Amino acid sequence: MRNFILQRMATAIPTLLGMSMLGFFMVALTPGDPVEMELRRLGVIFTADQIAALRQEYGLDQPIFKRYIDWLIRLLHLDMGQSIASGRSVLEEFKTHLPLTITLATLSLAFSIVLSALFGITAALTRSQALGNFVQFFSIFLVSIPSFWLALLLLFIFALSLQWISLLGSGAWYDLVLPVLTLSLGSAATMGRLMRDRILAVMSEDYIRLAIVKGLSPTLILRRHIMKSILPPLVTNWAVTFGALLGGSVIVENIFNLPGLGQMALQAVFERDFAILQAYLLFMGLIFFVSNFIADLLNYWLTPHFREQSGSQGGTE
Amino acid sequence: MVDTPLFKLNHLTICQQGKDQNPIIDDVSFSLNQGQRLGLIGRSGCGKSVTSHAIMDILRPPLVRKQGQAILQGQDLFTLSAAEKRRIRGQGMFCIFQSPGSALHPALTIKQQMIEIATVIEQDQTTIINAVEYAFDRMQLPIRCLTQYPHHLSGGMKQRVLMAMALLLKPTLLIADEPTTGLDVLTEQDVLKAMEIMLEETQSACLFISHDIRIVKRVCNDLLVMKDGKIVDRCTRDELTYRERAETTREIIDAMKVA
Repeated sequence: MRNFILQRMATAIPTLLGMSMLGFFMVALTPGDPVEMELRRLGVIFTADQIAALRQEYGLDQPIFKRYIDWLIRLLHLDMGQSIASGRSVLEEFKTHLPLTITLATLSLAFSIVLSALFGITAALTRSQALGNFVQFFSIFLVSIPSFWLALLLLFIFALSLQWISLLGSGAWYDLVLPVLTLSLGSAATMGRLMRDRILAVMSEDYIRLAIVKGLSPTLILRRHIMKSILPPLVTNWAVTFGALLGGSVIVENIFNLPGLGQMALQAVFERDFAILQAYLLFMGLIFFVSNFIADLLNYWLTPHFREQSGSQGGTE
Repeated sequence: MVDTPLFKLNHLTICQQGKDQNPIIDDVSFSLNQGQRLGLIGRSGCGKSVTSHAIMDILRPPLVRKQGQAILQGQDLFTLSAAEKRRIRGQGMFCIFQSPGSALHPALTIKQQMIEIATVIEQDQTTIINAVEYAFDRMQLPIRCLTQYPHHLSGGMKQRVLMAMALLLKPTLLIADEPTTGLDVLTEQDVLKAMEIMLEETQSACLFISHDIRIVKRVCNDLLVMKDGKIVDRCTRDELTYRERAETTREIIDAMKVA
């Protein structure tokens, strides 16, 4: 176990370094000068000297590789620079916007897992062709429609037609209901299908048939035998989905006007707020990495038979 | 009552769903008495395993039962509700599968898979642990196997774990579906010995499926020979030597003599 963790930790170093490079250079090499953009946005009349001075202040006059190294060194001290637009430190900005996005993604993930389990298990266990087809159709439908369209549809139904909630949001918890629904429906559909297919595949395995032949109760078979077999691919899927939900929140947060990371990032794109964008990209990469790492750990624990492949050679008679 | 057999399979016919081709199992009938051991032999793919799956009612789709009755102690298994079937599985009938490698759950320890039988035979934790240890002792399995996962055990050991399960369940009817497939001759001996001990203790009626006439002769008194889903010959162990048997039976005998 410890070796496995250490190994994975070691692979983290090149991965994170690569991600930091990608994040930094992608933003730094984008055309458009942040200083000029900011001054123009503020409507200030500026001279060439002023621009040069500001550029120096943000370190933009340095060669790009030196800027990267400086950024990396400051990053190690958790100093990710300052937002050009707001003047606050990037860390401050993250602290303000992160909780909402994390809540949104976590709730959405939890809701999609519950929903997909409901879908998948009923579709698989009833073996009902009609229900199976419905899930199939529904999942293709939900996967195909873009989330911004679903969000607008939900707003149309619940805010405009039924008027159950305010279009502008009221700052209460139920502002999160529609965003969570938007984010989770799509992933729940794919996850539900995956779960159904996995259960059906596992059901014809000999060890499940042995469990049936033993006379065990269906709940015990489902809870213990089937779940233990289908969880590994699902856990991996959940990890990827969590990252995707965090990223997907860019669109949803902007439509529902929620001040989360996604809104912050989009704003930063408009303002060429490079410090924020670089930190955002790195953060997203980190989230993907960490959630995959957790999924791998869980899978390591769930699959004792793959764990020791290289270890013992069968039994001893 | 004396004349009624313990288990009776009547006119079992199995087809592929949606296809009206030749049935895979064609009108198969046989019966088993208390403690009787009946061998079912035939080529691979002749429908031996499908017959056993049909009796346990665990046919894989697209196979479906077209007609037939399976009467265990006066009850037709095929007409029972799901809950009633579950009550009969385990203690009423149990099946040892062909490939021990895939019959045990790869991610559960042997102990977990043994102990959960307590929910079927309604025993408390200490009783079941004692019973499991006793069964392992009878099957000559080391106790340390309990904490291991199936991939730690050899094929012969896994098969004896299944026998230990049968020993706990004491089923009225046991189906052993080619329990020695894929084992070397010495391991085969061990498994057959273990099975002998188990059957003596459980007094189960046993349907022993195999393609190997040597083994069937060793284990069973009575034999059925199957070909293309039909029973083509029935005889006792002693009659096997006669040459006036069905063609398939002769083929099998000849093949084994060459070997």
